[in-house]
Amino acid sequence: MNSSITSIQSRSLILGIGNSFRCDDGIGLRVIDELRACSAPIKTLYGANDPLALLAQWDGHASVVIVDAVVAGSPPGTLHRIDLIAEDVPRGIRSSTHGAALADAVALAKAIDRLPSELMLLGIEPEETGSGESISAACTEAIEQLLEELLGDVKCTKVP
Amino acid sequence: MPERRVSVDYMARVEGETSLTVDIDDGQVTDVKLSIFEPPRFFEAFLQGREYTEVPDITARICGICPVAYQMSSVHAMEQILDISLTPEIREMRRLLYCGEWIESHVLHAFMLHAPDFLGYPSAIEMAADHRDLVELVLRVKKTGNELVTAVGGREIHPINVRVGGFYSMPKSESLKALLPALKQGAAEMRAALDVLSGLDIPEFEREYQFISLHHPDEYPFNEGRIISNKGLDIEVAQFPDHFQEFHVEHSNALHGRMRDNSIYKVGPLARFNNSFEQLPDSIKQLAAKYGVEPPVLNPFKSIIIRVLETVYALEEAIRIIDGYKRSKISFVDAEIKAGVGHGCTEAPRGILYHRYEIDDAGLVTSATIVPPTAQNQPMIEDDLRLMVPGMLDLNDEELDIRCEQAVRNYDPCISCATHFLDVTINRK
Repeated sequence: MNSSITSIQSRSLILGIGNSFRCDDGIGLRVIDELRACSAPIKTLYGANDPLALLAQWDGHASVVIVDAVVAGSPPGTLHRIDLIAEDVPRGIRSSTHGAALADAVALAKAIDRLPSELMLLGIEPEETGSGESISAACTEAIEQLLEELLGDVKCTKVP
Repeated sequence: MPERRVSVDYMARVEGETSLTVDIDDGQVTDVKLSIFEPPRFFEAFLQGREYTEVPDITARICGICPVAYQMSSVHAMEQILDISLTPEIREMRRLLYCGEWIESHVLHAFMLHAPDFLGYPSAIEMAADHRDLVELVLRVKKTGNELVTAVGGREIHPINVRVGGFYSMPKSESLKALLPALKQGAAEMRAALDVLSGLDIPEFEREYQFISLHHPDEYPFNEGRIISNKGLDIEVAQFPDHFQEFHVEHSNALHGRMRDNSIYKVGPLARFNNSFEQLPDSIKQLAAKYGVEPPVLNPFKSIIIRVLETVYALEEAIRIIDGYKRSKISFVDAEIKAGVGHGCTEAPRGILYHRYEIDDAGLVTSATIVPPTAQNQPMIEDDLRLMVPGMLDLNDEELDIRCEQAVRNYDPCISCATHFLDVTINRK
């Protein structure tokens, strides 16, 4: 996946989904902030929570990576990689505090042929999703790992 | 336990968290409860002590679908306190911003949330497989609405360009003119989409309503006018508290609205259409006639057609405003801070949204009251079901469930809005 991001960066997009006021549910947004802070040459957006808006956000992009908290019953901090085009995402499952918008968006996009060629979900199993702005130690470590994976050989200048 | 019960534990395709119970005994409806269990958010309480200038941005957060309505009702209330008179250009820009919100909100509800009920699909996703062109059209028009809100408001959700007295800056002429092709295409496509809707199987049901809306002698209402009804009410916005009240019922976290005489009433597209039909342009009146909706429309299921007529109106009104737009240097009108009480009432997509604020001589809010449209419509939603269900008892349980949900969706209920204000007194204790 690293190669796809670097080779077609101009048509690549990373969407971070979540709620920064619900602890680990803010993972997706934190990843976007980190990518922006190090001036990564990749288009990033805070993803919409509404399926129609998500569709509009990924329109025109060939390769899209979505970063979100994913509840799958694994230990906190576990990285999940789900190919949203190849795999069926069960609709109606509330994978995070912002509902099933992602699954709905994928299902709707499939129905009207508006999926990007590549659509990957990079998820991190959350530990705490109650009120608050802090991200757990397990998830902070997972974010570092996820950033390394996302950036690969992309040149990134850390802002001092 | 009643002999038959319609029970929808978690209603889909409405904005927010709600459930519905209808009890039927011996062919009679014995109880109807639209239970709103989304937790209240106490906006009215935490606005106290905030600067009057912060209120439009704070109240916008009540809703991601209709933030413009919250901004508009709050700025008008503050401007009443500060004796601010708007320039015609600012007034026109506010109408344009509101057009964007109506377009976004109405196409989403009419086609993606309500139409599946009429066409027999569990959701828009299944509908999209068979009606791909329609869904694509709706996505295009919604995007145009979003772009309009972005062009005027600076951001598509929770706009950042609105302030008391006007806007932080007036949009550039070229950024508005660039929207004209999409607006024109959208208007033409929405007119065509009415053909699809005219073929829908609209349930037979009519009843008497007390319709409450804003009314302006020269235009279809967005921001300005008097509050009127089809039963003779005709008052200034500031008289709202003299005629309307809110009260708490056990089964809802949203206050219910009633008139002071305890009567229930309906706000929203049907109320606007019936009360202000004469103010619509001829082109929209003709469109209404073509599709057999002329006032008084008393069948709530026809609200889906009225919403689309209003969408065409909003698209064409936006084109009219942009066609005549010249960027003015003045983007807001300033005024000295002074203490006072102000009232604002504007037409959110779902109906009138009333705000009342008191500020002190430092400009800090000392009291806030927000009465959203869904809160006002709750008793009428329940009453519709009470009257409707006895005529539907030949439907099987599944069909009856669907029909009841469809009837609730006639109101495009915005649960998050409705719960964003409950009992300030509880919060103070």
